[in-house]
Amino acid sequence: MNIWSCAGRERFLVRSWSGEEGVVYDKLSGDTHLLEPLALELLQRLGTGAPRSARALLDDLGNLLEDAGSGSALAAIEQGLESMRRAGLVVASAA
Amino acid sequence: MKVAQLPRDELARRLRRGELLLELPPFVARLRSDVASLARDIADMYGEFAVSSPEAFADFSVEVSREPGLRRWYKPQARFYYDDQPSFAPLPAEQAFPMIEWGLNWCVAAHAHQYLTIHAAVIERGGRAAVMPAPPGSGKSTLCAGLIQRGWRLLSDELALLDMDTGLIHGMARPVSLKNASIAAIRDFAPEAVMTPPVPDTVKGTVALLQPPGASVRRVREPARAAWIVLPSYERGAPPVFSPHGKERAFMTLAEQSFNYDMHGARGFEATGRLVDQCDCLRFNYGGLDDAAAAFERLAAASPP
Repeated sequence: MNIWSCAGRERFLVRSWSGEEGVVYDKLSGDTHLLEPLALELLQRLGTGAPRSARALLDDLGNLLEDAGSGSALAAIEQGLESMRRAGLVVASAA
Repeated sequence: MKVAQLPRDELARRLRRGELLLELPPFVARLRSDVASLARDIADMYGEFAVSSPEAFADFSVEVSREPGLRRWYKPQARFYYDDQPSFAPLPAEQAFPMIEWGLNWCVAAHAHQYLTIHAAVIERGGRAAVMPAPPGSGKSTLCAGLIQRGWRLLSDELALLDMDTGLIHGMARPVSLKNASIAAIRDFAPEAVMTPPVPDTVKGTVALLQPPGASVRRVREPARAAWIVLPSYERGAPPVFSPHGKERAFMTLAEQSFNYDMHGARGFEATGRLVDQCDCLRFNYGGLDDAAAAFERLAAASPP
């Protein structure tokens, strides 16, 4: 199981107008990313809280996700985290 | 003094000697060429623009000169030079004016990093500007060319220059580049519009330049504040429809269409964010210029400052 953390709390500039999607500027890489709502939520939670597993993030988000009890919600979180890991926004470490 | 006030032989002489300094606010370009037809095109397209004295400072020194060799007698070519250095491959000499235009665009995009430079058309009405960033083929230049025939002020059809400190957008009000079917579309829409003769077989197809409105050139030193970011798309026969476009996606389009967003780092991110803050972000699908002009008229009337 992976424990996920934000790649650097002071490293990102975030703008969101809709409150759902967001644009994130990575000061280290110089890249700008467009994040889907779930990914933005995950990044912001990891940016302000302790590192945690995808399951723990699912528990945190339970009240926001309509299908939080289903496997698809966890899969979506894992997919979002993996996508952000490839972009250098979050880091995974073995539990 | 304006280009139009220079006698044609004096214009040609300055051009041959590299003494034609064209004011393209906020820049000045020194032009040199031995291609005779270029003086006519410059006179037709830049007549309302000011010229500086030959000794003045120029931001860019550009030249389009005929290539030497026997080939010049049967298939003449010309080459673009920047600061006396050959830049880009030679092209047929009849493409000299488009070459100057493309070369000037490159000069600004590659060097004017005091601005956030965005590949976008910018037009203004009533103190509010519409910024239209879009890839080639979206109908951006055609739409821009049509709207400036209907009272919108031209800032640029290619390069929006965002001052990151003031948030104001500068343009050079240079000629609008029309390609292929757009040439006939603008001729039909505005028969009185002045264009260069179409130049066929360029890398962009057939190209003609459209003379900027005199009223736009006379206000070329006035920047404008953006009120709308509009992403146009042309679809034959489609009714004109504005639809909301997410600000985050508009942001990404601006960043992608910028020539130097990456260079500016966090400052570019913040400046782009402020630009998006102040604008309504819209998609605009259209299939005809009359309808499009009416739709933009309603847009300008419906959103008070």
